[in-house]
Amino acid sequence: MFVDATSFGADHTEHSEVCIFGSGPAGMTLAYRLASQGTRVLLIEAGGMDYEDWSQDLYRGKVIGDTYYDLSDARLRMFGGSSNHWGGRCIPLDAHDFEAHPHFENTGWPITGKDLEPYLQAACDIVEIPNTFTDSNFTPRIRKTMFQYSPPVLFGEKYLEFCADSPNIRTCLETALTDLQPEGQVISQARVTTRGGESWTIKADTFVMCLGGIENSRMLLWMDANNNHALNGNRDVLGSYWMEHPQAYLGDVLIDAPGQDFFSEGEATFALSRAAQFEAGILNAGLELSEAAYGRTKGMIADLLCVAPALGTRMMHGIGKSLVCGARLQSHWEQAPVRSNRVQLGAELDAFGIPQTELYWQRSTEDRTTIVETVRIFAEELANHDLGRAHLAKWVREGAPIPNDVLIAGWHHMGGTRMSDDPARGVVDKNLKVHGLGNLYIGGSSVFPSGGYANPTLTIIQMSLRLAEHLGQTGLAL
Amino acid sequence: MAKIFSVHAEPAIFALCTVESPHRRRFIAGLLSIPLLKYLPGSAGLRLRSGWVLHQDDV
Repeated sequence: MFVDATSFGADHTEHSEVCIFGSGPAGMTLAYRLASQGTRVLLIEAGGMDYEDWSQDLYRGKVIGDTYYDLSDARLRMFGGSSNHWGGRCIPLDAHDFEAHPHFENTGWPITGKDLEPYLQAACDIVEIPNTFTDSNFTPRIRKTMFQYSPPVLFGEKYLEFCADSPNIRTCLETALTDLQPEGQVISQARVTTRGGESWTIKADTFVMCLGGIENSRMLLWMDANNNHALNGNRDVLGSYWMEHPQAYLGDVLIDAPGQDFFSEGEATFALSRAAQFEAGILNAGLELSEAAYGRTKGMIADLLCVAPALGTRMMHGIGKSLVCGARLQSHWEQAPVRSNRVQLGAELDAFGIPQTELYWQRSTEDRTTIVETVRIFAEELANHDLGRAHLAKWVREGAPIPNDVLIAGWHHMGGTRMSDDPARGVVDKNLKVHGLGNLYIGGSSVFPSGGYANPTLTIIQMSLRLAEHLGQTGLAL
Repeated sequence: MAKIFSVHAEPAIFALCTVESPHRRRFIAGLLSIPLLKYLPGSAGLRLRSGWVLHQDDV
């Protein structure tokens, strides 16, 4: 049921087995799964049922470094969280995304792809997609990959009825987490504040923060500082190793591969093989070809005629028989996890008196190398196997910085409360429990130690399903 | 498999490429048959200043 939290007085205390903060894909999946299994869940959402400026303003912050989106636009503070502006693009992480990369420090997860596989079908059911992600060899060094598209599922909409009707779930809107108070090795209670400024208390066996890929770091930094650093002993890691999926236009491609229906799904997607990626000493990248209009394709062929007349003539004949098509090539790719990219507490305060986010974000030389090498290998493979020819964007071929145009990054906020078995290197363990505390967990992409190139929502859901199972098995939740 | 190698083309070719002419293709083809292209062996792919990554058999 939905509970009107604004009517609670300062002495009010809610009791629950599990208290989940945040109703986005991570929090809602966990709440749904736990409540369905009979666990009593209290779901706390800081925003209201709909988008409202007063709520969104609480996401204001400052970005230092490269050009990035306004932080009050890059996520949504409302019931269902950022799923309300989700594009629905789904693909699981590659198995090798979980490995420690020999050329990059701070990569490697404490779990493997196998640990998440058992939750893939259920995650696909939740986002209403088939569990079909074919991954085939396009050339020896290139894989043809496959995304699935959720309608997209808006988690607030999908689970509204469940939240209203389930006897096991109590949902409070317009109620923000403002403090977690530890007693020894456990969180004894949480303090929350309503839109009107009333604060009240929550007591639960287990607390789970699913506030989002920036807010998990910001709030844990704030609450840790407020409690003499009793929430997290590792101030070097908390907030750090924040990542995005940088995006860029890479050039155009003439596809000359008769018999291959490239664009039946609307786009054709590729990635390097694990061997090619590791041999090149780069991180993972997704390449996307979207079919160009006929006029643009003709322009590309005209350009090609200038430098390779015979090939251009062949392409020109091919286009007439629909054997050749032009495509725009763009990518979103994995960013190296570095300590300097981080969420910090800023000097400005929000309406609750909590420091706003200060996000340090820069794309490194290694980030540029990853995508330039990936597109170089892709273009060479096309030419070597006579599957097409690529025309590289000026910034790629001339060593210029990654451009700041409309494509900056994927709005994928990862890292900050990274997962590691070693408390010196991570904020949460492989079961998403905060190191040093017995009953505080974190859900969402802030726990990712590295990001692959996969859009993170499907992985977030898999991990929430795994967390629900873990909480059930350990008896903390059931 | 033929080896891919690097090519730097003379700027004059690309200046000509910007000129629209019914005879452009033939003219450019003629140019390409004379040593205006300077072939530089390398392993990084056949990169022309125009931005195309081509196979050595393409030119």
